[in-house]
Amino acid sequence: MEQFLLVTLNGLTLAAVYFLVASGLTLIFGLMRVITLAHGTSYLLGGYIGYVIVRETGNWALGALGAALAVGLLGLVIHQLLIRKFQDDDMRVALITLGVALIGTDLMLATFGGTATQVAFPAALQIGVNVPGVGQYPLIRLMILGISIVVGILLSLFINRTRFGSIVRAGVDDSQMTAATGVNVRIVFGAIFFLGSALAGFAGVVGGTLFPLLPGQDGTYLLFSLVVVIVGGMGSIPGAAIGAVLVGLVSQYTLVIAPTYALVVTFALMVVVLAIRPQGIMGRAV
Amino acid sequence: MTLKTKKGMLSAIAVCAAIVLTATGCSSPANDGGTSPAPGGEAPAGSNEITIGVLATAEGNLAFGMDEAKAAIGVAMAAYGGDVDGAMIGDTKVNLVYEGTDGTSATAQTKAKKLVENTGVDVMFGPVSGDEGETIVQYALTVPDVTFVNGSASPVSMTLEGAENFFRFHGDSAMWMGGLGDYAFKDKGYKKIYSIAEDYSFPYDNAGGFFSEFCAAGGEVNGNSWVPVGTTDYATIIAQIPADTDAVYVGLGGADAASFLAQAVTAGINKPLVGGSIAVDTTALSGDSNIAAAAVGTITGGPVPGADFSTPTWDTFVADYAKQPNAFPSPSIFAVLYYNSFAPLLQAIEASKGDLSDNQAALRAALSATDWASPTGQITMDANRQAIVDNFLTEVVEGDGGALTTKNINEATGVKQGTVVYQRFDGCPGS
Amino acid sequence: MTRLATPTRSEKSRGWLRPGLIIGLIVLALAIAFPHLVDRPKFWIPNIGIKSLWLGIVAMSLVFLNRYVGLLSLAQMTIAGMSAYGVAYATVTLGLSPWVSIVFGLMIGTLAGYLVALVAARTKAIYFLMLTLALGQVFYSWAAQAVDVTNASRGLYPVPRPDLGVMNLADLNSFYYFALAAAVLCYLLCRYVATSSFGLALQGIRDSPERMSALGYNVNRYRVGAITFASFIASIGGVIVVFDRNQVDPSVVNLNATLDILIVAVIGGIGSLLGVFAGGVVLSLLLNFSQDFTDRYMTLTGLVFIAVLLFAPAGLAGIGKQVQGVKDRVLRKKKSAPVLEPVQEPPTKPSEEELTTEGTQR
Repeated sequence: MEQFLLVTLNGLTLAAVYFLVASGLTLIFGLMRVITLAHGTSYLLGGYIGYVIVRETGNWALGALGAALAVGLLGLVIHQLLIRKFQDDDMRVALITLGVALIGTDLMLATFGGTATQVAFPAALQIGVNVPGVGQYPLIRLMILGISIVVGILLSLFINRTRFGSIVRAGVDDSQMTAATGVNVRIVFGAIFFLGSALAGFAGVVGGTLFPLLPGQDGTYLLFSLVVVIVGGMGSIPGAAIGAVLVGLVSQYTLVIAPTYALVVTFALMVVVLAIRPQGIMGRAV
Repeated sequence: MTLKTKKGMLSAIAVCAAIVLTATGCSSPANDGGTSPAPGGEAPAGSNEITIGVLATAEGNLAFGMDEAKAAIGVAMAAYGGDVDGAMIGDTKVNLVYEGTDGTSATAQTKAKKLVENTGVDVMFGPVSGDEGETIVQYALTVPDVTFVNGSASPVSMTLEGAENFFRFHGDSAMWMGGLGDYAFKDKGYKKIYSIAEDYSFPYDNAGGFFSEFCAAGGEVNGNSWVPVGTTDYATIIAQIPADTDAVYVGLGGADAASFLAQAVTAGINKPLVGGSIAVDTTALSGDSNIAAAAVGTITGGPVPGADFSTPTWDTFVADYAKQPNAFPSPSIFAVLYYNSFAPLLQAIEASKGDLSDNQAALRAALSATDWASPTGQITMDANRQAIVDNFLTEVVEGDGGALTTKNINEATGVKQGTVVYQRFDGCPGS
Repeated sequence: MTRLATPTRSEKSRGWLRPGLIIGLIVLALAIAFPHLVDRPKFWIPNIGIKSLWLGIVAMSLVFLNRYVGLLSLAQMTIAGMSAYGVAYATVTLGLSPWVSIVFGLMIGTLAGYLVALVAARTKAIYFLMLTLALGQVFYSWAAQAVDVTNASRGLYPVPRPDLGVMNLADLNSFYYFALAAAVLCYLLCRYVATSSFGLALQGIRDSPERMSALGYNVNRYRVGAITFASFIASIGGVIVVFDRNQVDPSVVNLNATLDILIVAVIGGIGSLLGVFAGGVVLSLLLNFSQDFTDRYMTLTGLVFIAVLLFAPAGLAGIGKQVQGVKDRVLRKKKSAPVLEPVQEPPTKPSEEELTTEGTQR
């Protein structure tokens, strides 16, 4: 029982990282109907930028903020330069962002090398705390779970309670009609791309604190965020949360039962969901 | 319109049939399209020019392999007054050509073929990773007129495939654990060890070498976790370690090892660790992760001695290595192995006077006769062209200023290759 | 439904038929003469020739799906890899004869494609892309772990090139012609299927699934059929892969290999069944020689990839046409169909015309 709770908690904290990455992806898709395959690259880049800032300043929060801002701006530039023109051609956007990912991966390898690094965090926080029913549990994982929940709530409030959010929701429903009502959809698109990329960069710092940063992680996190949004339903923030929790839990449970096939079972979850509900758990039928 | 298409198809089918006919005609042994020798590939007797093709990783996670290979080659060539591009060894002019791989077998195959068939090298030197190594041995079997000297690939099977033209001047990954099993059981007093290792061939051999010795000494394996390569979250694996285990074997490498060690700190593991050969190497220890609390006290075995090791030959090698461009603070396992493999090749070229006649027989005889006091101990060759070497047992300690380093604790001399190619095992290997 | 732009066909396309056919035949003649033209056949035949051919065949299956079904699949290399694993398993583990092994491999690949189709056919285009990408990684991680079946990262070896009786593939030239014949056959098969009533229905479904559904076509079943057929083509590529490499291991189906196929298809022109071979040649040349002038092979590939997508979406196969388009525009100074825009073809467009212009895209 204790082990079960422990593994569940591990699954939830892992899901926290997955959610942070996937939320940006789902946000962009929700409004723009395009998928950016450079999302994993944004994650890794964010992690590296955070790593450098934290190493230089010793301030974790500054690192997270700086990484989010930098990656967000880069996302905006890529959107303006490469994507805006082809916004209606979802396939071409996917492929162009794939090209961006190829280049980004290679340049990061050239800059940061092939060995693993990790974003440093204060030694005072590297302790276990007593969680009822589980025993000693790493504080940092609980903090990351907390951060992720806060970000999730903020995103939901932002989408559901602000004027900008209502524009986004309207855009999700019908971007042409929204444009007809006088909203400058172009600016909204740019802003969403900024926000989505910034979330990936932020996730990179959070994830890079818990797990190593190295070439290859970009592909891994792209795949996991794709699985999360496919399972949860594209374009839905609550869907991304549900998808992340499912993927996190399934991967950790199978790591206990059949460690060798943890990854396969995780992906099998996606196949099952698709077979039953092609649009994902929270996705709207399209 | 339709008619036209049909006609086009008919003619195309005819062309197709013609291709097949041409091809079957070509099957006669007289014309196999490959008899024209590449220049330099079949140098006449007494020729004094030898081209060596070097394979090393230049992309992917082991991208630094190429720099390490060049540093090692640079040290060896400097002894003859040459550099990484070439040197005169006696009357023989030695040229070097480099090809980078990404550490996968597919690229290694492509690049090896390019070096042998296009560049026309006489000798192949490399590769870095085990996946590449196994495929290169298979390739070596198909080009018997080229001599292959291994770089740092360590699967046990490589020298057991019967490739007469393939030489390895360092231990395999099972030999790298030589002496550690006995040491863990007798000196450290570990009776039960839990094993966490990556699920691929290197850890099979590496862990297999350790546990077969440990079990033979009387030890017990109280559980195995084989995790996929690239596992970064070890919280759940750590939770499965039984409370009564005496130590934990960490058969992980690179980022996986760093993740495990960092998470072992926060999860509060208080068991001593036994490291696989690449779990606590210099690259892992010099990383930024906070792993000291977990890593200190870890014992491990491998071909690289601890930082306090000092013999005249070793010290000379380390000093020469440090002069090379892009060198690490201390030579990595790749630099050590590439050097230990390349120096005997140069010595053999010198001894055989660059004579490549008769299928490079003289060169190969000289390679087989190697008996060299390398920086890491005496190297001789067995009948399978596999080296008999010394192996080092080291322990991770906290050095000056809190940086992690390794200390030599023991040395196993004259370690020979076994004949077991290990597969994934539960409990003790072979049980 | 939007899909990657295929070049718009000029009105005069019929007139292009003859030169197109002639160019095609010249290229074929060059391909046949290739082993005798190169100075170091033992390098050029496997590293450039055969590699380009199997890259092209696998990419052709991707192009077929994109062009006639409107789906972009990133699982084609995975399917080819499954077929390669099938051949290797039959040869190494089961010890079956070469012919049986080949058939076994083709069956494994095609069956796997059918199963993928069952799951994926109901999804929309962009989901299909993501799904196939993820499925490819599932197979990769399985192949890298399943010691009992795939021998994990060690892979299955040796798989020697067999003597098939009519053709001894152990001979390098024969193997090259075997691959060339397979490539030509695959091309003919793709064209044949595209012109059949099945192919016409597919294109109708691609352009307007609702209408075809209303006309009584079972849209899903057609898509499943098309994906399965493309898997068969990819499986043929897989058979060549396993004999080319004499072994199969997870690196055959890793993410890079998957992307390679996409790069080949995009560079060659994602609407052209023949352009893929040009893409294959470009990529295999890059793989072999890019290191001579740059350390950053991936960056170079990525830049070429993006440049093609931005400026020449019809790839190498479309460049001639694109130049022609610019010339027309300049000469006639009148609005001609811009090549850069995504194409929405009316479902009623007769496809024979598409096919006859095919050759002109080379």
